Amino acid sequence: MSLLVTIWSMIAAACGMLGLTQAFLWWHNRKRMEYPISMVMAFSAMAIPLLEMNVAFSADAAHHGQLMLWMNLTVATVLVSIVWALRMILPTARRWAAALITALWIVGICVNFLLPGNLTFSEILAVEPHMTRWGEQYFIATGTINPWKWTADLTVLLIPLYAIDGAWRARKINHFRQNRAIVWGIVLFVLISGPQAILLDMGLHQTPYAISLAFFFVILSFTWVLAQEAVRAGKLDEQIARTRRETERVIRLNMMGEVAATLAHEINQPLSAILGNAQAAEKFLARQDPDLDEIREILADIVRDDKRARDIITNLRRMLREDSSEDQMADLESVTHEVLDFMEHQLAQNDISAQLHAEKNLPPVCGGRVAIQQVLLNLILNAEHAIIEADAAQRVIEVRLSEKEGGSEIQVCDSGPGIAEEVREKLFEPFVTTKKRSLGMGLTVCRQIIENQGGRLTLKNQQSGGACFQVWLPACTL
Amino acid sequence: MHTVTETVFIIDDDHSVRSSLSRLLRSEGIRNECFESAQAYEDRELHNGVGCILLDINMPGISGIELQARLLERGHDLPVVFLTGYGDVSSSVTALKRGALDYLTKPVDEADLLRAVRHALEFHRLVLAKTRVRDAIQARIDALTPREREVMLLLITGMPNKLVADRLQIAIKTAKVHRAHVMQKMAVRSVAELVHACHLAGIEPGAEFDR
Repeated sequence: MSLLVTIWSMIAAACGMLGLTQAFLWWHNRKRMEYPISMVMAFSAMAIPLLEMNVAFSADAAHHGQLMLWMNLTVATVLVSIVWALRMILPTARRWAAALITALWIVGICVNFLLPGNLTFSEILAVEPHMTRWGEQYFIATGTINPWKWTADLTVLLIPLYAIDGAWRARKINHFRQNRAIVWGIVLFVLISGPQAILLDMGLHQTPYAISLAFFFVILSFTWVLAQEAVRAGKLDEQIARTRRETERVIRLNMMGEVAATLAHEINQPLSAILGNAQAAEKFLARQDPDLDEIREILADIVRDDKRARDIITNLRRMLREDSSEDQMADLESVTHEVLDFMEHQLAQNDISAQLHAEKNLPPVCGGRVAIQQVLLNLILNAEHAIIEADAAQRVIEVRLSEKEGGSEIQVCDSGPGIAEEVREKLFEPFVTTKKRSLGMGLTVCRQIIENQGGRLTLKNQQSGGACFQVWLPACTL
Repeated sequence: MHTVTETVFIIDDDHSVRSSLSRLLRSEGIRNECFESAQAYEDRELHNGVGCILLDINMPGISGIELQARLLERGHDLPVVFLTGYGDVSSSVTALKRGALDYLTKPVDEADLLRAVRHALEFHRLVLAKTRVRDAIQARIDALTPREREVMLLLITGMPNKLVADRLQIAIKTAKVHRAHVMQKMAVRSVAELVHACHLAGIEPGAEFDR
């Protein structure tokens, strides 16, 4: 079995695999241009060993020359893509140098195809057989060196300078440390293959063409660096997702805090009435001649207040109960009612009237009740804050439910001052807020929640001035 | 003589809380009246006996703090005991700074409530008594003629008749007559008592009468 054939085929296969790896990376990240460029580089590099192999076994001068034409083209493609891929990865590399190298190769390729012969030899005089040390026969052409060959030779000198210069200028930024494998790969490649090719062409040294081996290392280094980067990006994504989950949890806790404050106040009223009544009853009973009618009245009041406290708890529990599968289809009207019932007292305390306008026969929407209620609660709390902070004369929060575009829309509108144009779109971004004591995460999380349910959360100002938040959710067709 | 009824005014928007507080006070024999809002209380005619206000901080419309400010503005002297649902530190500080007598958090225990209410009533009783004495003395002072007032002001600095006559450029005899009138109209038997009465009315030795 021929060792030359084995080595060249293996290099071709390896380059092909690396090309596929780059194609895979590109598929998952279409925006990064270094992936397709590296892919072209690897696939062109796959062609080189195959051409080298054929050249080495071709005894016919015309056929030999033909193969060399194509070999020069593939070498050009690989070198030009190395130069540009390096620039993508190492932005400190000089653009004009990359352009110069590309231009030199364009001239070279034009010469290669348009002038007689190829870029290496303008005329092949003879194809001579040689022997490897282990006794395999191969052929090398001799001929007149093309007067334009310097264009290609110059790039062999320029490319390592270009890479080293780029790396040197990047030494202060982290780029170099991450990408030095590529730079070393390029320098090594030129040191090995450049002199070999030049000496070979000048007829000073006899070996088969083997630049493909050096190319292989460059492509390996590119793939190595890019794959490493992809892995890092994946880890970063994971971290971001974790942070977002954590933030959502904090927001939820924060909102639970507000709910708890409301709840404490609500429960406190009946509790305080019950305590007062019970202690009054004790005193009345301690009298000589207790007035039993009075005691009866007191007991009735205690029972009524106890029921009132129970209703508050029941409301809250219904509102916060965990989603079960049957809850995946939510009736918007009842969901909204539950939230408004819960908020009613607090709103009344601040002189705010809440009005619900619901269309009849709204289609049920997909999504968890708790999720929708969480968003509604947040929007109503926001509206309340807006009205109180602006000390608005008219204190109304309107909640409208309507059917729209194959789903249902909830509008929460307040009679506050509205939201200034310049803040409006940024309002959904994290840490943007118009409130004095707020983290600015509420709406960000709300939008996330609604989008997770396949809906939209948008904002517009009313003609009367107040802000109007619109939640659209798709209808459920289970 | 009118009978002084000690009354506690309960102002709370929550019906249950209101009636339970009312019962608790009634069980101790403390007269009380209930109001569902600050406005309802303001609509009532002024109470001129001993009393105090049990005031809920958190109410729709005029809040407890606002009512307290309005009453202060109008020179109301009923002491205020605040009731609140949850420990809101900033509003309690405001309330106490403006002279609220006490601050109770709901649910309030009977013993705390009664102690606060009794203390407030006692406080107002003292305030009223002081005011009544002051009003009586003021009435007597108002009955003096301008000349007699001048004489009185000099007397309470410790001047003998001769010096008073000198200062006012009148005869000693005339000064003595004025002095006798002052002592009689002010219902005092000695200069010491006169000084004390003037002190209660807010007049200190060396003061000038505004004519």
